Amino acid sequence: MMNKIALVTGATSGIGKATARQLAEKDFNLIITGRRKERLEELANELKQKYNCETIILNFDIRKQAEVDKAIDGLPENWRNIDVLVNNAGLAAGADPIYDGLLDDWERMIDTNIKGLLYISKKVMPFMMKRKSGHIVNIGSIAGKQVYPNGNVYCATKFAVDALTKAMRIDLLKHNIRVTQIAPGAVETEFSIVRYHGDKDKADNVYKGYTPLFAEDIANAIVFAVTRPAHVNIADVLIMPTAQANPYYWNKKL
Amino acid sequence: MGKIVLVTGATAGIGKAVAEEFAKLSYRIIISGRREDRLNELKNYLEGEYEVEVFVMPMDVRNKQIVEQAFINLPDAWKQIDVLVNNAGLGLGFSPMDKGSADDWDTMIDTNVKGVLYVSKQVMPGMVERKSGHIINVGSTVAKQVPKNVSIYAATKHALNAITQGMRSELLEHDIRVTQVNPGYVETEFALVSKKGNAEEAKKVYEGFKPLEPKDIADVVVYVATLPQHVNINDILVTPLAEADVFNENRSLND
Repeated sequence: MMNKIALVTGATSGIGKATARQLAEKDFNLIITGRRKERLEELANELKQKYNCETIILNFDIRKQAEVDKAIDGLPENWRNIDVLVNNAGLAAGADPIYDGLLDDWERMIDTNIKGLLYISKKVMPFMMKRKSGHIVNIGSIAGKQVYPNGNVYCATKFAVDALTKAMRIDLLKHNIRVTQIAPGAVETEFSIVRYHGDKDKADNVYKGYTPLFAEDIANAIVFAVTRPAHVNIADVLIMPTAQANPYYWNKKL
Repeated sequence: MGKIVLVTGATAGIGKAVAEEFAKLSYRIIISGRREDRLNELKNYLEGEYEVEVFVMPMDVRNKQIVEQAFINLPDAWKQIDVLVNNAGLGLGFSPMDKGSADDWDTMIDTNVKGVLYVSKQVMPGMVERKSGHIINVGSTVAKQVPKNVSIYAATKHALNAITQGMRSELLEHDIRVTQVNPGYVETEFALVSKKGNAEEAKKVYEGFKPLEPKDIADVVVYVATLPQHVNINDILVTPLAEADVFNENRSLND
């Protein structure tokens, strides 16, 4: 019998990459997805060398339904028994008041964070239902719990993830599938560089004066959730830097 | 010297399991509850099994004077509490509100809300002074949703939600971590207490599915308490696989 299989979207950096590493360390085989093929290949090599982990690379843009369908349809039969799906691919683009926001940014966020999550889940859920076993982990955000200034559309997409997590848990209940949301506060990844359209100063500023979360901290919480006994579902985890109580209260020492 | 954890409601269920998991990590453990004989039994068991130091703190968290006196009596060597687990709590006499008993309401409010405040009030100043500590409040799925016939119990847990958030915001500048752990169905004496000792009725609560065990919640409590200092789990909801939320359950295990 082969090892358990985890599919991690957005595995080219940040939380996704750290999650792939920690799951490989726990003897999962991995399907890693993302847009940047070289990065996926690099990670697959690393996982092979460090953890002797078998890895399949799916190089697609999760915003494109046809690409997602084709990639999943192309999976070898024995790789379709996906035990854990980590819906991690996502981004924030822009941090302006809603009246100054860019339509392109909005569409990127909605297409990735909501529609991308749906496209991949739509393909993977039937595999899990067939076996009456599986675990879906959605990466939400504190932005999916509280709306903050200039968070507008990003918050809306993460509120959608919050709702979809609850919906999946309810609708998949009779199929014995666990559904978890991990909702982080500030995590130091490429997240802020992307959010500020490559402006490194603005991005660095987000993490000044306190210790933010690191991708490894979130990966650790994901691993904790997926390694609980079968009857235990970690439904929702709001994980924050100790220095960030919520979007409004910080303990920064600047 | 090892870290000190104070667990309220340690005489049974989640509290007892939490004390045991901390014992495995060689914490020094203060166990509190109303039933002194049970506390002494647990102390003997933990000291024997895990070679840890245990201090017994009998108190009814509903009684402000008793709580204050218990902390005055706490020896100096036990005063530097690193982790406070506010676990003592109960649900009582579930029925529609028009048929509810005001005595039951008082007991729930006095234990689940005021008890948490009385104990925390004694522990927070030391944590603030040392700029270190972690308060873990045990909430519930009904802190998030309100199913019928449980409204006052749900109200106390909603209050706890607010208390947890307030504590976190107000203790933030003192580097104190505050977490709420919200369990769904856990098989403990909870059902028996809520059904006022009616074992038949209590059994029905867990019928047709595998509920959580106290240890499942204790594992979560220990997980959040042992994360690196810069990581705080603000809120964690843990349910049996068969409980999607308070309105959606799968009790088909025996079908």
